[in-house]
Amino acid sequence: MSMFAEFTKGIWKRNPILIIGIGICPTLAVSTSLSNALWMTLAATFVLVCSNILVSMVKGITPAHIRIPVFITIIATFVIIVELTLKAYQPSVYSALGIFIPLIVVNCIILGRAEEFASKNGVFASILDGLGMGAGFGLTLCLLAIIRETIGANKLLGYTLIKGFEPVGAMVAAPGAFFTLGLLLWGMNRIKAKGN
Amino acid sequence: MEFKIFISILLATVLVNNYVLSQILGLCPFLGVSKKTETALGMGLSVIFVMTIASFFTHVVYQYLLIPFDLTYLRTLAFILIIASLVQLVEMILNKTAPSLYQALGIFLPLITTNCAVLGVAVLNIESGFVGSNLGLLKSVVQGFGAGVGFTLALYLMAGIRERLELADIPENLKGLPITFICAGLMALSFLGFSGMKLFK
Amino acid sequence: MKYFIKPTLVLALLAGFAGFLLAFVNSSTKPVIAGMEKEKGKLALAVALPGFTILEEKSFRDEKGEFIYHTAEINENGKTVKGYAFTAEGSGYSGTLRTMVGFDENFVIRGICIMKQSETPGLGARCREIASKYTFADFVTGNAGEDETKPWFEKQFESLSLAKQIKVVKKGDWNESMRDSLVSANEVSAITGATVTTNAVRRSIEESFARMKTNVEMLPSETIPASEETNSAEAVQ
Repeated sequence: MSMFAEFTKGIWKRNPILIIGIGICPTLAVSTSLSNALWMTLAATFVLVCSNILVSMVKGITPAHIRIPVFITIIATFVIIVELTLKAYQPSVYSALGIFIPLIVVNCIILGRAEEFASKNGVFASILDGLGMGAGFGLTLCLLAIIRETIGANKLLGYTLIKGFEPVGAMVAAPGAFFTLGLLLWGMNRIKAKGN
Repeated sequence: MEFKIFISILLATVLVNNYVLSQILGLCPFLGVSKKTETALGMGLSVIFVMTIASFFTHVVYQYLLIPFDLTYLRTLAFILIIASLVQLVEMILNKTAPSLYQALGIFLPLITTNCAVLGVAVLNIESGFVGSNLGLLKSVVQGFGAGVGFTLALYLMAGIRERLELADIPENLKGLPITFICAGLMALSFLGFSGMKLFK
Repeated sequence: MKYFIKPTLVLALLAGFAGFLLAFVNSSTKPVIAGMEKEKGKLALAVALPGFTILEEKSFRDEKGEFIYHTAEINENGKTVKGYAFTAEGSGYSGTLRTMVGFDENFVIRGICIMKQSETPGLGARCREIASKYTFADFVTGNAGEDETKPWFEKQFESLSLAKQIKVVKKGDWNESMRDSLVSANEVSAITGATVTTNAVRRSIEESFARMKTNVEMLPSETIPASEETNSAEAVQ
């Protein structure tokens, strides 16, 4: 696959959330506001790319039967780096994202890409794969966030949208998350069906 | 002894702050294993076991290892490794004692390691301030157990609904994940009714 | 044997690398994080006692543990008015609530600042919500001027009296027009759907104030006793 295709596959054709169906946990919980979505994308993509690089570098010397603990250790290391950096330099983001920062370590996308791609491909390809998957993850996250924040809190990036409009609170809570993603997946299915 | 606090922790984790339907944690197995009620129950019981024991060990490690040596920033790494080892243990036990369940759960058993809810409850125990509080370890374990029960409840309910959905006439594009999510949304909406419930002060 | 040696070596090497990297990041971020905690405390004091000069940090011990508070003073209408600030901690709906409360010598609240909360987003967490005067469109077109910086929930505690009981009523989310009627009745209006959080804040403030009242003598400037007093109470000059 060409290098460019390695990157773009994560955005549409192999979008981790909408097509492969991984990384849904943080998606639903963090898409309550566009700001949260953007920061989570940044954090998760950083961890994804860095761990892809390191996993790709050590793939030669890692015995197959201990690869999962190795991947987990690598991923957890970068998650802690993100945790500490956010806590020190962006405390409001740190408290807004809450437990979902350490939960990046169990984000199926990162472990999944390490297992499926980075452990079998070169460093440069792994970087592109990571960036592409991160972009796909981020775009879906932001789309969900825009829908939920506008309808559920009458805000966008913290700024009120329409004066005097009572938002539908359930949209920023769990039900809204499930409904929005369900409808989005339905939309994806229709698009896929039309394409056939 | 303050029994009230344990009852309110249990009620909170099972109903009010249900890990799947309110806190949106533990979704991967929720969607993957909830097709049949027997597998859902088996998965739920495994998760209860892992969560309870993980809560115990993570609390102990945090309180007696990470804090005294000023290594609290290694929390995420330590916890996930503890959980991964516990899941390995559960796999080996199930393989020996209930091989049919082991087969039925398949890939989802090792995936308990990446279940956000398990790491989630370990971290939440710390964030709730249980470390260093009176009977803190017991509170952590009870919260872990309650989280598992809440997860199993949500999983079992979902499985029951999905078994029925198999026989329903659903539009082609809604089949599979979309309709599952919409059902989950309706369940979450009903559980939203529990919010604001505080039994004891 | 080889089955164990190579994996152990690889894991040890990895652990060593990870440990080194993390220790480095930790040591560089630790002072920043500690510094921020101090800044947060200073900012909270400024919100709780606006315009006051902070004098000292004092503390006392009672059966519930250590209690830290600050003394302050301000020059108002030619008089020196004393002020105090304490941190009230209580359990909210989920997790601890930490509120900095500032009041003057007449036990009138000057301001509160909720420093730590982990309440439900969309419900209890709205205690930190700021009612912006402008909309998104205003910001985009540049029409927005100076905006509100204090959460409306905190604003409604201003001018309430700690000497009387603070009552929680359900009159909808607070806005400026409700101020006079609520203050005269010493009431706060609960956040819609978050009475538990509202009550928790009120309760933690009242309990901490009660502790402070029993242990600290807080007299207005004019009535300072000529001689000093007894063991447990602390005279405030």
